[in-house]
Amino acid sequence: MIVRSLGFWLCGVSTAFAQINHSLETDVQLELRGYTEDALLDAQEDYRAAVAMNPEWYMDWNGAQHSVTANAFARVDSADSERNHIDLRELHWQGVFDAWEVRVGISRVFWGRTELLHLVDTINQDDALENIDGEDKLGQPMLRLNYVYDTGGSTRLYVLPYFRERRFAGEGGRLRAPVPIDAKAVYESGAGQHHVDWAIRHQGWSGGLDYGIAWFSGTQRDPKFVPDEVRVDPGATALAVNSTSAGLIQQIALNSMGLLSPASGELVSLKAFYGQMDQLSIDAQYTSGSWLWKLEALWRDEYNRHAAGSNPAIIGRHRYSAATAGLEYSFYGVFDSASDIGVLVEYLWDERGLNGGSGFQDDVFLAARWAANDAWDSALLAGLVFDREVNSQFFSLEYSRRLSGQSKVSLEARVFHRISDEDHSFYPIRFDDYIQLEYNWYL
Amino acid sequence: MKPRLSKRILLLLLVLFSPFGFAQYESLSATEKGLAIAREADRRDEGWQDSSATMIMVLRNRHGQESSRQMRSKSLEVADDGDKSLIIFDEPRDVRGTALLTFSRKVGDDDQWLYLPALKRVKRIASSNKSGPFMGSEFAYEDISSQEVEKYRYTFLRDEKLNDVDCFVIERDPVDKDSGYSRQVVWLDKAEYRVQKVDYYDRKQSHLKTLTFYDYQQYLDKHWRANRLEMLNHQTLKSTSLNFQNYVFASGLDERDFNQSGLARMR
Repeated sequence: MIVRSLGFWLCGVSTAFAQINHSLETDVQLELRGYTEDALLDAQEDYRAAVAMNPEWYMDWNGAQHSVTANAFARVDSADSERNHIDLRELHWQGVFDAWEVRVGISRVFWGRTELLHLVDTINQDDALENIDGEDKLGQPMLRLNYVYDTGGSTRLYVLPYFRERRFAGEGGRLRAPVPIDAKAVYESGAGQHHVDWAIRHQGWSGGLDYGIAWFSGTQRDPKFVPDEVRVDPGATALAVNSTSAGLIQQIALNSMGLLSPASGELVSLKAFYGQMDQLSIDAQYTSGSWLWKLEALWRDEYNRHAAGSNPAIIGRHRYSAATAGLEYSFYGVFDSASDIGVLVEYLWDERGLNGGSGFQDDVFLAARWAANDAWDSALLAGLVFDREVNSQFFSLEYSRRLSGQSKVSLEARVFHRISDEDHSFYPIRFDDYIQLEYNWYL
Repeated sequence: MKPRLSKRILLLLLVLFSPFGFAQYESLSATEKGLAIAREADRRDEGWQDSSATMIMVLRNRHGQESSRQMRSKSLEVADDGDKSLIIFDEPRDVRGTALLTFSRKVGDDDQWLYLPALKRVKRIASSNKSGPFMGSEFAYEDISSQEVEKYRYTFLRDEKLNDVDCFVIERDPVDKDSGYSRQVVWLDKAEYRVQKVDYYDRKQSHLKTLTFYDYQQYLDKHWRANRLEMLNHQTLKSTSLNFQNYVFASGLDERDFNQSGLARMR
């Protein structure tokens, strides 16, 4: 509910502009998840129940020229204490001055076009504790200057003075690396978390084409991993973990690089390493009739020198490209009803290869989206990802419908099928198929 | 002085003749007359500049169960192309903050962007889905989009009284092949050229829906807007009423208020 009130403390301002709008809205979410297969490790739980709260407070004044937004997220989880977490998603002031927009504080930003992998979406760190789809993000402190052209395009400059580390599931959690990841990360930059990153992005449109081009310079958001603790076992020659890369969708835990463990020892824990990078990215969508054509591509120049010594699979200076491209076609009013069916195909490529990065190096994503267009907004999304190189398969099913004006229910199922042991991104989580029921209540 | 005088006389003649039997339409064919009426209705509403309003929709199924929607809409008049509009959703709560920006085109597909607040994502969407339901209601996207003269071919059908009001009855056939309708029959009152009723016929030529306009109110001494629209689907017996509140005209909105780069800050 938006409460409107006259701000008596703004007496100096003309009364037409003295109106202050503010609102407080809270989403409460209940989540029940069951894993359908026995866990890889004894400590991992088969069920979890969780509650989350997400209040957002907003206020604007001077005819919305100035606004302040605060958004917090808190989660309590029965199975994984690491997943009991709080994050300040947003806390920023924004001012609009003709064509200029200035934003200072913690915020979230989205870049990109494709549906499965948000390849060029760089600014915010993933909230990997929330979901594996890379769509939940941690708040990022920033100064953002945005110049908006009359044509609808805009140029944005971001200054990012503080880095948010990814957080990883704890012992009881599933969808994680088989060894714990130490809370203390290491950095390429001597400034660590205080390295000032920056980015510039221009976006616009012309006819059916929407496009964006961006440059990012600073700390890599995706961690790499180096050994933290190694238990020396003189007799052992076999390696407990001879390769760790688990990039499920947006790297649940480990990403990249066959991490070779020391010759005669067992890897007890890992440490996250954040290198530096310069990145050029483009993203585009062409819309024509019922067709959407989508593209994201990036060229990266990574600096990982401080990690290259402790994990030989990490390349000290690494230049590579990656891309994802696809299309979406919609059939309207199918089966003589109001329903729509959208069909999506996307191809994902990464120059680093099978175990070099995201795990999506030669993968195809096929999906169908059904929207009933009924009063409850019922919708179903069924998807399949398969790796053309090693034939690992991933299935996903999402259904949601509104229950009332204040509530909604969703069902989500994910299945990892025929995961090849060569596929280090998915192999550690091959037993983590799950089904989840979620209830959202909007206060 | 002379040309000015003759102009006055011309104007006087027009004023004298037009209220009596709409002399200007006399010599026209049914097609020409239909188009002339549509143009006149459009001309009479020109110059509204921009408008904003709160929209409340009540959806009813055949058992009378109701659910409601609440939105805020802003529109900008564009002289030589279709108008621009922005709809911000407030209810139901799961879609609160979602915003739909439309640059309508007189010919061809509109340009549409959707802002999804949970992802902070602005997404260009296919606008070819003209016949799809808007928010699960009985209003299709094409029913609530900007009604440009060029979107239809017209035929004058007859003069008729509707609830004791003298009306023109015209047929309009959508030009767009993606339209869900084969034709629409429209009643406009002769006094102010306001749409009073529309009968929609689906692609199979059967009577699909009827839209009735209630409580017309005049703004800026010129622009008529109905406060209530009732859409009844004869085939499913579902209905939707659409109520407009807090209409404001010419408040100084400009292109910058209808910009997809700024969608994320629309509240």
